[in-house]
Amino acid sequence: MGRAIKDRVTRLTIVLACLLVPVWGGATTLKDVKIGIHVIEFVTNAPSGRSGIGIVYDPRVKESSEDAQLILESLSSSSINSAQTLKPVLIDIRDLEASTNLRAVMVADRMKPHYDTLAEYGRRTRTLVLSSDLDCARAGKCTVGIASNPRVEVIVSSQQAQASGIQFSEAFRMMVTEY
Amino acid sequence: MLRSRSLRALALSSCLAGSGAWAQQTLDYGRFEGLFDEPVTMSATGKPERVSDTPVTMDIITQDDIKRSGARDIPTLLKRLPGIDVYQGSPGTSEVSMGGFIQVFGARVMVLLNGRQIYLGSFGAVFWSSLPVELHEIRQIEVIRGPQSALYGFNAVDGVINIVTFDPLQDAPVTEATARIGNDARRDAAGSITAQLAPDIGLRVTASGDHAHDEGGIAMPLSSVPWTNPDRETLSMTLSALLPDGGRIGVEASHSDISERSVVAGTTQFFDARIKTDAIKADYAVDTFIGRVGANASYTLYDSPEAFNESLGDFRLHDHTAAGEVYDLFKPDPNDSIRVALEGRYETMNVVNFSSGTLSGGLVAGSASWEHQFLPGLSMVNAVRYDRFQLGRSSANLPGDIYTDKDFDRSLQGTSVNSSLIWRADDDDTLRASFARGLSLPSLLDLGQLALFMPQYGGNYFYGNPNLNPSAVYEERVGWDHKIDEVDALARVSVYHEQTMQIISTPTLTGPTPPSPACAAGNPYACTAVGYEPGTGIVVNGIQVQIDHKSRDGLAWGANYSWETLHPHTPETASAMVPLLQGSLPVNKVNATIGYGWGDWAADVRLFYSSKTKGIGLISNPYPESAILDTKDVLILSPHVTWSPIEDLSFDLSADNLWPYQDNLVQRNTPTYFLAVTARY
Repeated sequence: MGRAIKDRVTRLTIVLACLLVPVWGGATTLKDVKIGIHVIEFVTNAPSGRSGIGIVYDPRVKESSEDAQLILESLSSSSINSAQTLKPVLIDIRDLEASTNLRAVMVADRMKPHYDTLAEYGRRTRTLVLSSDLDCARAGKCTVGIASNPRVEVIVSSQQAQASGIQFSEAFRMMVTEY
Repeated sequence: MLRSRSLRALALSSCLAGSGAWAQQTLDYGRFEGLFDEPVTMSATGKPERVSDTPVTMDIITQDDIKRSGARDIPTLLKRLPGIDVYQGSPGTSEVSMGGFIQVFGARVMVLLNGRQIYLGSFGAVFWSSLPVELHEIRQIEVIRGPQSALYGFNAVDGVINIVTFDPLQDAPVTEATARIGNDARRDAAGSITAQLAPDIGLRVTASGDHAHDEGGIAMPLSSVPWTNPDRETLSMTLSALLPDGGRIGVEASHSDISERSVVAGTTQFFDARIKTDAIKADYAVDTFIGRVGANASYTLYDSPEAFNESLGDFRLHDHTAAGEVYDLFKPDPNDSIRVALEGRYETMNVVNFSSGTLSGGLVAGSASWEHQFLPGLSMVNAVRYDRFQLGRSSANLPGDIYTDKDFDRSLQGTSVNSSLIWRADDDDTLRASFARGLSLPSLLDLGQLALFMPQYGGNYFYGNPNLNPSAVYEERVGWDHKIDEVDALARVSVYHEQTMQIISTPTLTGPTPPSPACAAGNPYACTAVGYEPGTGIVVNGIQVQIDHKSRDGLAWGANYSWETLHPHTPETASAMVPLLQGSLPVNKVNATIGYGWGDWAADVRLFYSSKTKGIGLISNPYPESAILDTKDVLILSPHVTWSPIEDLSFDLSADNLWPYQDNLVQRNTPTYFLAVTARY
């Protein structure tokens, strides 16, 4: 009897651990990029004159570089960025501080060690920080976390958005998850 | 900052303290659909949300669905959904009911076009063919089941159908024309053109003309009355503009002119009528420091210059409705969304020849809804609305009138409630549970506009009754949605129990009845007034099951089954109206579809089965006359083939109601065939 209860507690603990342990963001998909482009359109107070979208990556990490390249190709595709109003540019995380004229930055895979740097950059330059790692937004480091599989999820960090002076349309806020 | 913004919003909302219908035209459906990869809606709770997040059982008919349907009207699309009954009394007319309940002169389904009420409260009816909208300009048709009075007010007690059209500014331009020919002299034409007048202003104009020859219809003793062929002409304009303040404005204006024979569901009563409808509506919405604030106003004029009924004779009907609303929608913190609104409506109705004067109804309502998210995937929505309806009458000139104008100087009020819980248990499963209290308001016809002498009922006077009250409708519903990844399909089960507390008894529909108390006070004429059925109302229980795999290319399939049964809550006291209601809709219904799309071609076959119900047939008594009879089961087929040889041209060959049962019912649905050619320019 006692063993059965112990087994149940063990199983429950494993399930809860799976639910609570943050899942690594993984590589950015084409659909993630498409969602990111849509999210940018719902910012109501975008600074005028900014036309760039930065893809921030760490060249010392292979997965990060590959993911950044994939995002760049997606953003250059007319099927994703049809109006081509946003000019994509690759940004080495070490050069981020010097980057200007960006309307948003998309964070490539395996950038978790740099989340604090990204959060600080977003706040200082009032730039939207997007990541396909939902935990980046949950932790208040990125402005928006996006996921496309199995269901489109958009998570907004109210704290980061407020600190960065970024406002979204009220209808958008109604439909996303805010932390 | 967020906190102070929330406080300001709450402060203003406490001043508004109100209710709601909404300004769909000011929501950018296309952009949100592109973001979330699924349709979005404002109809479920009054706030924008993804369809998979709605706390209510909801079906969406998209433009893709419409293109594959082969249907030429909205009721045909609706009857393929579970739990929806479409009673087609004649070609060109339809009465749509939901939840196994159909009540004459008291339609219980709220129908809206971009948020504007189409349901004609004075008559308790929806004239579907008078809707100034063509299928090709519809973005989606949203169907919500169960009482929604806490959002939409009186009469949204069995469900809500909201038709949302494409935005002429934000969506891809709708520029196409369709010509259709078919049997029974069917000749339809419709076309739309969309233009961008300025970078931030879009305009769409749509015109249509339909004609068919009514071969069937009710067999009536008055053989001298000619058939009324269904004719329809519409002209509509939709304008959408972005304003410098970031706000959006939408303006719609329309005119429709229809002639048709309507048969009142469950009875042998018919109306031959020409109905002209003019409507205008304006919406405005803007994001402010207190959230999304919006307002809308509309005016609708119904004019029936020619109308005839076997019992009522010739009459002419005018109905004016003006409505307005202001609302505020805000999110005070990440887990709460609140909507407050105030609504006003004023309606007048006059029927020349009834001599019952002009009846008016002024309504004010306030509503509030609150959505709270407990956990990601688990949320609750509560809504409450208070309605106050002020009845009035003037200029009555009726011999032997049992009422004075003072009897009509009274208000009817009530509170509606909706409470829903939604739990997205995992990526594939969603559970919903809801409770609702809705209110059904008697039509102005029942409240007193009906007042006439009827020789065929022994020289009785029949009166409406200004002392009627709204009837409460309670519903409990649970639902489960399950995604079946292996076959890319969505399965859904919904179970409900609904009780209507009081049923209005309309004497002209049930024949002569004993004089009612309202007539007793020294009235020199034989007299019967509209009243309530004895007993404690009607109960409906229902189960709806469906599964759908939608695909533009390759195999597409789906099926749904509805079981709905109606019975009086206390059978021993039930009388006149109950037999009309009971069995007037089938208990079992099945829809099934299978189709395939390849290249330029797509073909679909739909099958519809309904168990026995009631319909209008002929009896000898001793002369032929119409009567309500039991029908046999119905099994019909509706095939459709479409071919697009080039991108901007398509041909559609459709048939409906094939393989109909054969019996002595004269009012059955007759087979139709048509060929449509659509060109986009």
